[in-house]
Amino acid sequence: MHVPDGFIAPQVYLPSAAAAAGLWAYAARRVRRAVREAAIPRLAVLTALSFVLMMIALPLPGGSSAHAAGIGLLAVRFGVWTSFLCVSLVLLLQALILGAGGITTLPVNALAMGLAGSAAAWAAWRALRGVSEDAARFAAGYLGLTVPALLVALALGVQPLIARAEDGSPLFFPFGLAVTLPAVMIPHLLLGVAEGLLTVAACRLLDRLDAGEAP
Amino acid sequence: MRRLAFILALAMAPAAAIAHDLDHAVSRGEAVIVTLKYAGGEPFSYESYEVYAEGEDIPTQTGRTDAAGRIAFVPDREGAWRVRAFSEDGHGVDLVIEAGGAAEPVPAGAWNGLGPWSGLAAGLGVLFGLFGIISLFARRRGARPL
Repeated sequence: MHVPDGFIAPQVYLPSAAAAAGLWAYAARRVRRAVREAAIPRLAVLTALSFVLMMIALPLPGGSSAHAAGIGLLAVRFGVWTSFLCVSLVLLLQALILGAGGITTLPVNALAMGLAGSAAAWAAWRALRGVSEDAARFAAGYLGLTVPALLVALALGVQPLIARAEDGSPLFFPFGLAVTLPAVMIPHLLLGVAEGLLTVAACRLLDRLDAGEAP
Repeated sequence: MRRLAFILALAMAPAAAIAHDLDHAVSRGEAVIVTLKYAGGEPFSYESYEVYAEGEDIPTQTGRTDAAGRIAFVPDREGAWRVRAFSEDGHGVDLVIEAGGAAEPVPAGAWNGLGPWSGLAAGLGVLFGLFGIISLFARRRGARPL
């Protein structure tokens, strides 16, 4: 799901960089006030989990593969802005250390996965909490994966429309929406089930740990 | 005389037809080979690629990577050759390779970047280290004066 360098036109990644910079600054201010020092080790572990999940490519029927992300889990446990920052950090490290995802496309990836994914996950969780905590957590995990996948598919698929050479050939990414939407969405719609289940299981484990710690 | 000219013209006609067939020559040489694989080791096979000479907008070569995920091209001039490959779900590369010089050191085909395990260790190390530093500052902010 991470978009590599060279696949997104500057018309998209430059405004994304400006938007992301502003949003990161805002998120940092909010997070500084909100995150308790005692929560930092757990935040570190969930961020590390997200990093590990994004490294694992799970093969899916049809020959494609997809990565889980751990975004829903971060959003549910720590809120949208903390999750946004932590996922952005994971994406930065993956770009620098693993070469997964580009640097120019980092703002696009961060906004799609970190911000939109966290916001969608958190909104779904809040909406469904009254119905069932497990259903809410599952939905958070599911949307935390599939909403970013949709945004990445859209970002890639519009490239042939917005950036063309004089002869009409696409400058950055050649496949249009009719190709990218199914190619990106189908694996992630399937994998979202696993991500949802993982989110439920991890939340239950963290709840048990919290209960054990409480005096 | 005119009949002769006519017969000659008829005789030449197949020669003109033969000129439309293709000639070919086979030789061996050195190519730049770019091998692409996913992080898990699967080859990036049968995916579209484009190779551009330095400064060109129209690709010198296009095609699909082979079964082993390889792109091979023979640079006809020295310079920064650009290799782009893409899959439909957004995986791919956009590389610049210096090639085409006469006496060129051939790199030993080393893979870029760290392997998955080294990358995992490095990433986790940086993450936990960063959070450790952050918690140090958090602790300092919350410290009560003696």
